[in-house]
Amino acid sequence: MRGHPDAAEIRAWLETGHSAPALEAHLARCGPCAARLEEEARMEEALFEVAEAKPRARPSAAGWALAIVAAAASILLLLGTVTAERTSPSAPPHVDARALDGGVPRDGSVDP
Amino acid sequence: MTALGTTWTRLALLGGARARTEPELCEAALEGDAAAWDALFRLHQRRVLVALLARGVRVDRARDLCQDAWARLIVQQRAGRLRNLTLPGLAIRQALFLAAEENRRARSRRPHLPVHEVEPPADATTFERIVDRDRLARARVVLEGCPPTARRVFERLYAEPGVRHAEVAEELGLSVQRVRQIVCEVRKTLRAALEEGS
Repeated sequence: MRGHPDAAEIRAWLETGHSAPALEAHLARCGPCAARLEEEARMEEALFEVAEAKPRARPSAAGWALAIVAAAASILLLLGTVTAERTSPSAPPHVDARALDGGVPRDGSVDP
Repeated sequence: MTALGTTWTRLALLGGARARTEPELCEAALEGDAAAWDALFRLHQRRVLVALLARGVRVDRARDLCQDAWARLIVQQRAGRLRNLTLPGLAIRQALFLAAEENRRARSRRPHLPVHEVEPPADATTFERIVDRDRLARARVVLEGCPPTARRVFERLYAEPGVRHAEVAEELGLSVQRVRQIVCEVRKTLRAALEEGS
């Protein structure tokens, strides 16, 4: 007749799954130990489920680097556009009307 | 399979003279290779046993149901009703179905108790999970917060069937004692996370 196994002993048995006739016979007969076994098995099963669960998708270091390069390129493009707008002429070049009208103003007056 | 070489070695130890990968074993089992069935049983029996015990099946019955489940799979394969072998999910589902059937029969012998019809899930690889989605996500976050070596040790030991502490130790350049210590620490951390919401 064996004594009640503690949680660590049950866990060790669950970890291997190997046959242990004396322990298994006790666990099959003893109500409190059977309850402890179920609790430990639930935890073991939960650990399997955690290990098998797919980890959340996290961007890799390369992904981060690519995103930073893309953001920098966008900023540069934006700055380039603004600068180009500032340097481009905002008004058409000035043309002397007299040159077009043969040197005579439209009102007919003549400079002294 | 993440570490095919290690798995190959492991199956060489488990499967006898000719070493095969798990997909190869499944393929051979589907063709009726008894040695392949034997190797797959040894590889996944602990997982099936734990699944039964976690659902309150008595240990002696769990051992028998575990054997019966594999026997049923072999019968199905011989009858040509098994086209895919997704393990350990299929074996777990079969074992849980047999356990539910046994419960149903026991209840039906007692006429004053309600009889619950338990149908196996439609998808051959799914079965009722122990951990709900929220707790699973929380535990996963906790696991990802563990040091990379600890995470690797835990995932190798729990997500791959039949892997041994010594193999993981050799692969990661650690002592077996250190691997055991790491597993113990990760388990403790995860237990706390899982028990938090239960």
